[in-house]
Amino acid sequence: MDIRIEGLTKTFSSKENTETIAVNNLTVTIPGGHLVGLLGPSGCGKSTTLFLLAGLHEPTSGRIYFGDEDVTDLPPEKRGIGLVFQNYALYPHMTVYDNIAFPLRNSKSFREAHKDSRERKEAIDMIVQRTAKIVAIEELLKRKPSQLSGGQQQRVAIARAIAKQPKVLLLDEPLSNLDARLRIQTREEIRRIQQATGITTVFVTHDQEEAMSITDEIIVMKDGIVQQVAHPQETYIHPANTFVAQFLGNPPINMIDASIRDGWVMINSDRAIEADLPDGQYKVGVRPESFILSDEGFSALVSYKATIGRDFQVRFDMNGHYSEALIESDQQIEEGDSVRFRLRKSGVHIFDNDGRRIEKW
Amino acid sequence: MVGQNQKKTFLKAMLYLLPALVIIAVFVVWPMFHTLRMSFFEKFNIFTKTGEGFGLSSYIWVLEDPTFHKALINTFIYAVVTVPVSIIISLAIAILLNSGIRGSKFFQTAYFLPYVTNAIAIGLAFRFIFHSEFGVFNKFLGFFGIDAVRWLTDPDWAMVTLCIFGTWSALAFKIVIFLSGLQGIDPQLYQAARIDEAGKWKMFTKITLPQLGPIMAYQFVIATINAFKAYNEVVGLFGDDGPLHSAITMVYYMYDKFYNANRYTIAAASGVIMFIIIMLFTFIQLGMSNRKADQ
Repeated sequence: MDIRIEGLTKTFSSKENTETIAVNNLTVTIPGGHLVGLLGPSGCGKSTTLFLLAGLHEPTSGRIYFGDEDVTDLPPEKRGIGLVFQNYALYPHMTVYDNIAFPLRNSKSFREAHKDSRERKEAIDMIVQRTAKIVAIEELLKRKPSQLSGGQQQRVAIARAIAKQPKVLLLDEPLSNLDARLRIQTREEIRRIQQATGITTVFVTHDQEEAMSITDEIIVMKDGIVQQVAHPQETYIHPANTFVAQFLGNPPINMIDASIRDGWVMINSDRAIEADLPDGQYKVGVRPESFILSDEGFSALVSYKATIGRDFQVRFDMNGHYSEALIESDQQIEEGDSVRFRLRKSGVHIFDNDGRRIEKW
Repeated sequence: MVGQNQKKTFLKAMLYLLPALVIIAVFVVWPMFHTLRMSFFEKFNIFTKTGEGFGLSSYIWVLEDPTFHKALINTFIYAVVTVPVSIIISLAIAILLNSGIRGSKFFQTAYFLPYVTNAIAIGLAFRFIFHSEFGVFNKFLGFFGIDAVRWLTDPDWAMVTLCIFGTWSALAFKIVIFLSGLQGIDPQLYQAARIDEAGKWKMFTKITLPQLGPIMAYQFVIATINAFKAYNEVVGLFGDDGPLHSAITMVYYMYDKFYNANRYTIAAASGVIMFIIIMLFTFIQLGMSNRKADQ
């Protein structure tokens, strides 16, 4: 089932009569069955968007459609959604079993489908067992949330959210409380669960790596405004603007002010790469892995070198900015060396002065 | 070395605790011991601190005294009525105040005022409210065609009046405690419950009540102890123990035997009996709430 968001805006007004626009005229369609990441720095409006989808916030303007149904004015309990909170919000006094069964016991449609109370109990038991199996917590059903690890709690929260087979599953930074190893493991688990159930899922995160690794599509947001909606790889290879280019990628892209003269991008007064663009000032982004040691190209003085895994991390001056490059460690390079770099075209992005990427150059 | 160090720490700790220990010893432990000793005499001279006729005679006298029976029954009625009723009402008010209604800060203060006001002064105000001829309460009932009740002078109504007053004056403290308890509940639990299609009543029974569990147990224990110690409320409302002693409570009985009748051993014996009753109830309640917490 598709989620269609049209012109969604949410403003918060504080006591001092200042208005904050958390979400600004958001229009996007999330295709059914996809796992979509809402990505952006903190305060970009991604969590607000999620809570608007859930119905826990009321939009200032705009409409939200689940399939063909306009759900904008529906309260959360009537939207058929599952929500996993950042801190899970498990019911602390209930067992894992009761936590998962809680939405089923409350569901009106479920009660109507299973009128006989004993039959309903059996149906609930079956669903709880099945859901527990999906998230691999069968042996924890009798425990209380406080007796579980962070990762286990997170899986219980997902189980509770998917038990009533929601049309839409919403996850609010579900991995932020986990340690690094558990985070990788759990995000793959989320991917697996999402694919097993086929529920349209929206996943809020500020971690680009998280979003890149498991989502079908990324919505990059900044200051309440959507920057780019694309396949994760696409946002990296073809960032829509300087913000997206800088936000994605680790180590981050090198962004410099450079001029183009006679069809060449000039760096440190040398010709760095050909660009078929009119002369003038541009913003040029270079991915760290796109520097190639060469006999030609622009010259640079290496000021720092560190070995990280199979690469050297090299720092040097580029048009007055310190830039970082990743150089394969079989290359000869030392601190204090004067070297020349060519640039690999696929890792170079040229932006106009409004920050928009120039498609053809 | 370790043993010596421990000894040093212990002595240091004792030094810090000394002032408190001295005060507790003088004003709590000694009187308790003294009362216990006094209660076993038949006659006692409080000036020479000597008694005669060591034994259980005072206890037997108290347990056979119809006035003590009356005080015991009244106290039980008072506790059984005011504890649950005041807890239910104060919880309702606390939830209302916590739901973010307009001017909730003002009402929070207003509801707490009785707690910091002298019980006797409030009692005097209530005497006016309950006055059979000029009282606001009877005027109010008059609107519904209910005949005037002699709240303060009819022995059959005295306990009713006392329970109404006792419930009211027990609210302030409980509201504050419940409010702090409610504010300690993670608001996301309610958001989660909304998404899980829980209605208002379900949220109350499945989230609010269980989350308030320990606070509820605390309220019950403290309220029961306070109810068993009811005295201020009686004197504040009636000036004595009500018409024809109809609202006498255990503490009033104790007071009456000590100051009015000068029967010190009887007063001491009734005090010890009351102490045992309160202790038993507290243990039972704590045991029940602990078992519930274990489940």
